[in-house]
Amino acid sequence: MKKLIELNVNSEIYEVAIDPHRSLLEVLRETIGLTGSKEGCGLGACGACTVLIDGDPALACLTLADRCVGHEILTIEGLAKPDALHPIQKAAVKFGAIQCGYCTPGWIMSSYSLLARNPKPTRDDIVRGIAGNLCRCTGYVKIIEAIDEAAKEMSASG
Amino acid sequence: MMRLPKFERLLPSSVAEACQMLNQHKNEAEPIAGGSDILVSMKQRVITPKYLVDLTTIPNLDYLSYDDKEGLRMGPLTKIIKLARDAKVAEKYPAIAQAAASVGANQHQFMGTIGGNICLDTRCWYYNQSSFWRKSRAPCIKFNGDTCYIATASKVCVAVYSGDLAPSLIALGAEIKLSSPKGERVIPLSQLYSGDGKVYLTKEKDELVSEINLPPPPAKSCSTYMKLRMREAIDFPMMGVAVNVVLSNGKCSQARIVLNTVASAPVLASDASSHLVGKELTAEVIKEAAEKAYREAKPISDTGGCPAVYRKKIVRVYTKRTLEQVVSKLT
Amino acid sequence: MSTRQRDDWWTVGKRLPLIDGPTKARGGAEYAGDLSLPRLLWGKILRSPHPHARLVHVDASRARRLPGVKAVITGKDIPRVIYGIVPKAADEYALAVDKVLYVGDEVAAVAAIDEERAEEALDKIEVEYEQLPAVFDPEDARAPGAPLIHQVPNNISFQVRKEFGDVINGFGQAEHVRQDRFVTQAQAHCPLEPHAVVASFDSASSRLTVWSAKQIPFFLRKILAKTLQLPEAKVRVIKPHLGGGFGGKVDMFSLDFCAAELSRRTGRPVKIVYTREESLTTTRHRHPMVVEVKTGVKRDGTLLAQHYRVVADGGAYNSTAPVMLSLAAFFVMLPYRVPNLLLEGYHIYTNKPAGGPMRGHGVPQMRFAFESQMDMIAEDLGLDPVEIRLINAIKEGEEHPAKLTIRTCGFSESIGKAARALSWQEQRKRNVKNRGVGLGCSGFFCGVNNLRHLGSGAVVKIEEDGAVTLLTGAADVGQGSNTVLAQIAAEELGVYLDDVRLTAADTELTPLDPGTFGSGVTFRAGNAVRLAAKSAKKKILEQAAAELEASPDDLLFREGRIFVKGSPERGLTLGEAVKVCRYAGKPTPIIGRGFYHPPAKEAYTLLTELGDISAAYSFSTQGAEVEVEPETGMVKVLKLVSVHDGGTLINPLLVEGQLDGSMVMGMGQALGETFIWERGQALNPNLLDYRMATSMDIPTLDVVDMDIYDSEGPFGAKEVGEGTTVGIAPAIANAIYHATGVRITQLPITREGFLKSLEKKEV
Repeated sequence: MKKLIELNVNSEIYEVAIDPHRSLLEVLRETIGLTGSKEGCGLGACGACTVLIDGDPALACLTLADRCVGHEILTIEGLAKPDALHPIQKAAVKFGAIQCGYCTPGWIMSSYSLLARNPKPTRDDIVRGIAGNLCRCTGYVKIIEAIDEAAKEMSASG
Repeated sequence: MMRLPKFERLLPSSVAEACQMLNQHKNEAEPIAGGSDILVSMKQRVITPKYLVDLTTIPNLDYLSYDDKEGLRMGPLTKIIKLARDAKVAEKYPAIAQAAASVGANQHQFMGTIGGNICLDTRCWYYNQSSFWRKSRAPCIKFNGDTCYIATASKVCVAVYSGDLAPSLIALGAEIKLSSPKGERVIPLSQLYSGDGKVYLTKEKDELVSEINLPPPPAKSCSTYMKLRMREAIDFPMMGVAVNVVLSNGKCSQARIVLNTVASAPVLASDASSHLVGKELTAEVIKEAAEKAYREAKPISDTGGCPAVYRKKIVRVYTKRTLEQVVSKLT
Repeated sequence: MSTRQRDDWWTVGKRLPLIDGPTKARGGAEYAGDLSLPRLLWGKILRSPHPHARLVHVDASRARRLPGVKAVITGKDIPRVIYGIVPKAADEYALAVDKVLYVGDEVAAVAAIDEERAEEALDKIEVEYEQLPAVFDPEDARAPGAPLIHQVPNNISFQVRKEFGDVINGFGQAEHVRQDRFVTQAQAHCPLEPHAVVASFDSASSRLTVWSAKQIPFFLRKILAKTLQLPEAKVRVIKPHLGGGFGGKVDMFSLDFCAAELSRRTGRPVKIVYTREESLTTTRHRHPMVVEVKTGVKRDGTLLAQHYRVVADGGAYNSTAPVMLSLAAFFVMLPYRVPNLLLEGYHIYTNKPAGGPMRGHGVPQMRFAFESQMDMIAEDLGLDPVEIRLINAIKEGEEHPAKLTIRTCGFSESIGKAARALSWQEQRKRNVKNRGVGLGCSGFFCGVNNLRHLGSGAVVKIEEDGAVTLLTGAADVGQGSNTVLAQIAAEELGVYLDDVRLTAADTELTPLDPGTFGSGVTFRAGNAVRLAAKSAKKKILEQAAAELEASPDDLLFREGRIFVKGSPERGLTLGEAVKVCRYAGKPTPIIGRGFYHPPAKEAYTLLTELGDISAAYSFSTQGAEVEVEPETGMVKVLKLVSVHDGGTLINPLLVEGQLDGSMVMGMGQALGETFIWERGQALNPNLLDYRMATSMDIPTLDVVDMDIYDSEGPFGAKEVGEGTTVGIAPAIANAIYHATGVRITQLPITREGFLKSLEKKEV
């Protein structure tokens, strides 16, 4: 039986009718139409589907959508302003931390949550913060540089 | 996309109600906490419960409280990340903090709970596979068949236990509270595991872990956990060693060495542990204990592609290293 | 090329971010699996659980009756046309016809209103199999009496023999000869995006449109048309964003044909997205190989002769077998001066998933073998690994004994630089226990030139609005070719990068391009774009000169304007220039066309004749510094170095990205990535158990600058996407030898295997 629920995604309320076995990733991508969160493995081992739930990183492929009622979901689409990228996104572009772009939303969300908790991370903090986000293109080096730069820019601008 | 099988999610408002739901639906219901493990198994159709009893709807199961007299009380729904980052836990029970920080990756630590990790199902390459994959073979023992593909002569399932927290908790003397429609009981955590890969927990299906307790650490004591894995994140352990050592008057008065992922349950290396008691922990004694742990460890399966014979060797190395580590901290 | 001229470059040589970077950063880039169309159906494929079996009976009637199921096709319902990316090696059906050849081979496909119903329908298809004896090891497969997989003798599906010089005489003169055997494993591409396709057949016009995660849109068009017996003109392939390829999205797979056929039958768009397990086990991987190499040298280390015997485990299908073996042959010939060489290569069928193109395509296995043996020879002769490499390094302008034209070559320089980056002299002298440094080298190509159809076209339009439209068939798979090609157009026309509008890879709009493989994109498509831009420029130049009352030779294209050198105020915007052309009665928009193909011969003549396989060659040296933990056999790579002569770096930022990623992928090949197969079935078909490096597992990556200009490449550019992957595994293996004295001859280097070797050595 489908159930009508309200989801708060990127500060917008979506009313959706879903079956209880739907993952948050299915609902984001197929019901709401936010396809920025990706499925890389479907089994929680790659991090491409990482979103934030009440600020905590979560694998949307292993999250029941029905359980998200009353929580704030933030996806990659909720980071940028219409006219300006978030500093992490800006640094990602500038530092060549994006190649194919498929893992990008996931690690950006992981690092967003990291910087929210830890505005001045060490290199090691950054490396750990994105350890659950696999990337096959970059060898991670430029991703780490970009997050470091974004952290600096964000703390400089308060 | 990898999709979940259909189920109904039940929303208990208390532990008692959750137990009743589990009791009522016996073989058709499973409890769900963080979901980062059970939903993987469901996506692979390893299990297809009709009902998921959602423990996260029960209030007040998410807490950590430390008291010098009582020790540490942990609510089963406490997120693993909390253990990994709690200053008190790091100070009093370093092995717990280390084990928590070694679980999967960041996301798993944020999603997974202590209770869920303790009750983590045993794993095996012939079991944790997609339904398509498994069609190539007759069902194994864990799937109610009669073949074990790992240990072909075995009549019992040898799937390995690979939760990261339990070995450290056991080394530190953890007790758990089990609640069921019949009431509550408290048992040492070590008694939760049956040692059988198939029915790996001793608790009844309608029993729930409702609290985990650690005694306060004795004055001169130290613990640590070391995990063997191929990658520094995401991986389950291929072997692990948790040690907890208490010194008094320069000699070891109490020691527990617990091995992970060498059997269907965490294994107390009792010869190795008792070898330490009453002795000064010299390099020689540590070496001897490591040798004993090596002899006690009997991994069967080539877990995650890592041969048993290698994992056994590393038991010796890691036992030595963990003991050296705690001794250097204590002296 | 003078430095001054390079200083004049406007966008080329600059560290510019990806033009589609902001879209990707926002999560707005659409990949095949993100696409949706009205009335979309989902497709799923039924696969064989057996490694080798006869299809006795396939009954789909129950599946067809399931509500929500719109079509079910089996091997009988789809044209029986054998396909293959290399036509002479074609051996595959879209769906199995009478036999299945590996666990995962495709038997039937379903289209339903959602993915769950499609999956449910698969369970309702009844298949009766008659299991056949299967064979999994290439040696067993070649043995007399082995079950035949494709009815070719000894399961040898393809063989090559490449010979030049006088090998017997060469060995006769050798003062030292050694023979060694090396074994390599299967490695998965693991792009983060699994394979996906959306196909939409319009019944009214009988036209098929396909959006596929594919590195080769034009090949897909051709092969889809042929296999489904549609006119090629009725098939349109559009390349969406690709989530990485690394060669894994070069070949055709069942999902492409099945989605198209299901769409044709239902008249509705059909989407098929592979699960990670399907991507890992039913597409392609790097071929496992056994490489036996015998090498004869002079006492001073000079190479005299080599004899290679190569056996590749092909799996159930050929895929690119002939190309793979040819490349293996060619790139053992470089980067050294080998005067006499014989290579015999065999591609053997087994009942396993098929091998195929993957970054380096047949070459990393070969170079692991010989770069390791090079160090062994050096030790035999008391030479330093750097020294023996320098002695044999091919030089710029030198004619390679196999008649390869070495026009530019920074190889010796790269050896020196890599050694310096590793503090070679000190590290080798200091000899710290369990610490070591090692080198691995490679020469690679810049696009194959001996296939006539591998030419790139480009169209550049200068529009009335002053912007430039670039149409190219090149397939950006995430490496950033769109950015590089836009830079080339912007450079030639002096416009801002932002003013280049690019449409890439739509077979109906963009000119022919072979796609992304063979390290030829920048070289081939880059040249085409440059020619197209030049042609457009020429068309506008005369009119602009007349308007500005200047000689065409005195005009400069910069900042979106055309002006007189030295008097920037005397100028026009490009838009104004187009207007001038129009008023002068010239046709607009101004369109330039470019096509590039290097001088070429017929396909495969090069296996029997001498000569070039490519218009230019890249050269590189990779270095590794490792620390070994003798108690556990754990190898910690502390540092990897890449010194790559890729000619001019059109975009150093993106080049670094290619080299970083290549180094880490090479490290994976060395240290643990592998499939563990049991009866042809992978025990680790997921990203938990197929272990590619996480951010916690990477060493320091050091990309060292090189500055070479190759006159044939666009603005002097050569290859950078693959060559560096090739030398990493041997560099690590050689560093391990330096650290411990244990010689690695088998990949991957597992901890348990290495620990055993260490223990054996201690005894």
